[in-house]
Amino acid sequence: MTAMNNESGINKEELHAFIDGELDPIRAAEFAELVENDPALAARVAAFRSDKEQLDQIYGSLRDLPVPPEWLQRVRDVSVPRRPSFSRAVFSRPGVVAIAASLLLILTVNFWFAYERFITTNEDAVIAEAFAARQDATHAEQSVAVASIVPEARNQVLTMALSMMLKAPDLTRLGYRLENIRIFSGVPGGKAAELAYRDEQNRVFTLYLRHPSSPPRVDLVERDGMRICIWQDDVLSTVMLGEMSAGEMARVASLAYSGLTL
Amino acid sequence: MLTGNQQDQFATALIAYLPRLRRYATALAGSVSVADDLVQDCMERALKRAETLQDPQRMAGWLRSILLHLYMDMVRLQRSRGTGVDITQVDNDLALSVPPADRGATIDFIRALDGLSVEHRQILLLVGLEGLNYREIAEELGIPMGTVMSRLARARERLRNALDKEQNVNSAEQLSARR
Repeated sequence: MTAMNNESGINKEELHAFIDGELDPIRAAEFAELVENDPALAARVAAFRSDKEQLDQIYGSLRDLPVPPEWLQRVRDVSVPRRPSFSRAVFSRPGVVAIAASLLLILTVNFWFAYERFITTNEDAVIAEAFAARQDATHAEQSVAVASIVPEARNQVLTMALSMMLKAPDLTRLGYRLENIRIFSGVPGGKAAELAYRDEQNRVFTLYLRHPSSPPRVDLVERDGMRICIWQDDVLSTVMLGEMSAGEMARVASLAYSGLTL
Repeated sequence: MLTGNQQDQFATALIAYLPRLRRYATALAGSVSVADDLVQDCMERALKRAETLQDPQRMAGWLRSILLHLYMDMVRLQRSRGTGVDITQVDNDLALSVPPADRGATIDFIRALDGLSVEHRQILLLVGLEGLNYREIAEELGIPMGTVMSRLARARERLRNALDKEQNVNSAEQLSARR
């Protein structure tokens, strides 16, 4: 079965294992030396490597093709027939923008009141969950690396988890790139999702989403250097966490909240 | 029967893998449109048989396996009917995704790959496109590591020979055009 190369005593299987990095380090080093001293062998290795690279070059980018929405819908229809899906149309885009514009003012006025309530009441289970998720203190049922999926699939992951039409907000305008989506179970309303964003300074902004278990509210507080924005309506509860100023959090939170609407 | 939770997990994982499955299907079948039909059939079959997936971590291999069976069925059917995919159309579909200067080499490569057996195409894609290591391929295909290595070596040799032939033909054509 093993074909030998007469000139250098190399068998073909090992040659390809060398190209694929499958040889143990000692054998790989021996091979590297053989290749270095044998121009014909070096040319063969280069040609095979080039073929491997060309395969990836031609087909690799096909992964970025958007998946037809009807495929995603089909999977969703088959998988979650038991739950009605509803849109968050209650928040029209102009309405969201108006709310966002006044957020900073409301937050400033409410800051001390909110902080007092935050540390003295027991109604902030969702904030505790968001912290636990961010600090990996809760086991994620699923973790999806965003780089591996197209935007439509990201939205679908959220839509599936929370059974409502949702979009993964694009925060690149403010310098934050979405890295990871994690799904948690066993929370009020069934499931929660955490979207983790990172900026160029390596700062992490997390957006935690689930069905609300307390009345609507909009608050901004700070705890141990972490800015916390809770923005909750009748349909969705969001907790946003990041080490940033109140002003920056207000801007990021506004964009994130308005960006959730499909 | 999957629980609601398992069903959700299955659907999320399936959705997350669809872009890669589509890419794999395109490279295997050599055609975007054929690949789309295959992926849709694969998706339907996977949704129907979700409970047969023993280990959710192995979903990618499970889906590739379903897709390969569907593809083999399609190839057999085409053979029995004497029909096939128009290779010119296939080349153009994929070549359009690369810069114009590289299109000639891309078309040669696609033709050379399409000329290989399904078995050889499959192993080249598992290593070169899906990024699996030899052990993972052996597990997915249910064959010994030695077979993986020898099959891969043969596949690469045949691909290289086919590319050399294409290059020789192109050189001869260019030479005669100059005369």
